[in-house]
Amino acid sequence: MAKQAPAALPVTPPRRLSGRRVRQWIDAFGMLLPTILGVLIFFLTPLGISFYLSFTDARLFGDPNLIGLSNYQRALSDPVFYRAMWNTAAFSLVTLVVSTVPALLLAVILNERIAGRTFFRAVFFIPVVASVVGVTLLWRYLLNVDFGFVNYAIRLLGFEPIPWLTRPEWGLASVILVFSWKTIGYNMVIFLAGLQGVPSQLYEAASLDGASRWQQFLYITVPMLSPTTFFVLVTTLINCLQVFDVPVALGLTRSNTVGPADSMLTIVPLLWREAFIGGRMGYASALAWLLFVIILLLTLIQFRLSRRWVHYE
Amino acid sequence: MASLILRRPWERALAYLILSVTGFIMVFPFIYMVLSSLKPSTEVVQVPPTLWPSEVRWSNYLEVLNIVPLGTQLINTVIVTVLVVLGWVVTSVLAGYAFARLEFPGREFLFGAYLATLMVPFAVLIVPMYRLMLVFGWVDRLEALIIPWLFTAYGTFLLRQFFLSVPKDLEDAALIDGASHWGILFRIFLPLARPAIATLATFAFLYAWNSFLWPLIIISSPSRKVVTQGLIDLQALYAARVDLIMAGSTLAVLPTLIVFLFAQRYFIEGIATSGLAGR
Repeated sequence: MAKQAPAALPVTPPRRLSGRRVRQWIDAFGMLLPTILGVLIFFLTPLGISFYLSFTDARLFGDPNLIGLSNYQRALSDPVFYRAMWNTAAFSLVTLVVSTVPALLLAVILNERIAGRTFFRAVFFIPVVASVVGVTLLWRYLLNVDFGFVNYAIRLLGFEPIPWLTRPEWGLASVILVFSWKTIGYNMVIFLAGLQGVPSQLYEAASLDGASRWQQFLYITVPMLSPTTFFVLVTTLINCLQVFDVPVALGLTRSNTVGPADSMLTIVPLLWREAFIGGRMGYASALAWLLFVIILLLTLIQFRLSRRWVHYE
Repeated sequence: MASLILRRPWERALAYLILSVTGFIMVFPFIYMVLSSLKPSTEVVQVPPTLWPSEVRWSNYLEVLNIVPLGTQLINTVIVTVLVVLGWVVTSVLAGYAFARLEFPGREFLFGAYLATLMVPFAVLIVPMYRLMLVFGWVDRLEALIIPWLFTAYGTFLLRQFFLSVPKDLEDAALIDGASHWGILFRIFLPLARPAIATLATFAFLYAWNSFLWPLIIISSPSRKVVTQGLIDLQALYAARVDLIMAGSTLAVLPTLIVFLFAQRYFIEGIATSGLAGR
């Protein structure tokens, strides 16, 4: 923190200005240095390595050999890859609805002037902060077919218990349930922030014009909230496509299947299994780039579609 | 914040019903977790299930700490979390300030490029990062859980947005007095930025405390594992001892709930801010 001597004041303006500018560049460089080093070493370098590895036969150890597009061809002819893709798609599509619609409903209620808003907001947020692995293990027992409380409730309602974690046809539903339970509070808080950004004069003007509450919701809230809705949909989709913790903590078995008959296997768990249990690092890298391309494409499509329904002020 | 939708009494009743049922679904698993962790082992798998323990067994906690080194793993998690939180705050404050208040060539481009790194899925990095850790000799060491994760584009964005909102007169006066930019950052901007830093710190805490995929890949010695891995091991080894697994889960989940209790505002603001970024 070198202090400039007061005598520096009478120096001619242009020189002083450029000296100041250069000093600013140096300061900026110093402040950005940790970040620049971090990005270079722990982001750009691995990114490059990953791209290279995806064209090689890299194993856990040893030198990789270039094998062209074989890894990508292999993925596209591998039934397990298609299984994981299908699971990821189905999981993402359902979760996109199940974790956002209730979140919006709760946010609309909590945006009202009612007692206990902050209490309920905190309650809905608790699953968001709790460790994914911790709560997922907990759900492993809540969903147990014999002694789980979920099936206890289902029996009380007079239905047959559901083999959530033991039958392949219920595996994905269980992942959706736990993931949505954990995500609703997060999405609700974002919706709530969006709702609070809608100017109340709009509603006052509309009700003076005789608009019903339903009309106000439809013609003021929905369009004014559309940028927030768009953000929630984009981030939820990106998170869903990369889901790892919930399926693995919920379904990993001794034989390294994820859920019964791999029914909970999504892309990232498959990638992890190929790379670190199968030792096929080249193949796993190709899977990673396929996932990256899919995420980019879907995000791009969402941005394209958003022009039709998202209204920015 | 006017009451627009809920005007009639039955509408309010319905709203409270929805809130209560949802609230119950959100909280019940935690109640189940804590109560099960105190039960005798046979009682947890009873059919039909009971909620309240017939006798309270605190010894479950001692037992779980003995069969898996969960105590050591909790300490590891604390070390990793504290250092990652510090790293996020330091690098984000510095970079956020530089991007917001200093002028230098390529500023907008660099900032845009840094934000673009958020688009890359973490899955792309895990394989090459593992090989990089082999080169550095950090496989199965806590360094691997800390040093690569000390910087964050999200945090830089958050702090930059905050620093942009500070009026320019403040630093102009200091500059005329001959203060350096480092001095201005530490004496003027840093004290102002406390709420933004608290928000960032809560985010970093959640991220580091709950991380699972990367530790699973890079750490294999039980004494160097973090708590999320310890839980998975516990579940794999003692799947039948639900009481112990619930005690372990309670130990892993409780710290985040306590931090949340005290820093609730910052958690919620942090997420709300990230949402407003979409506007």
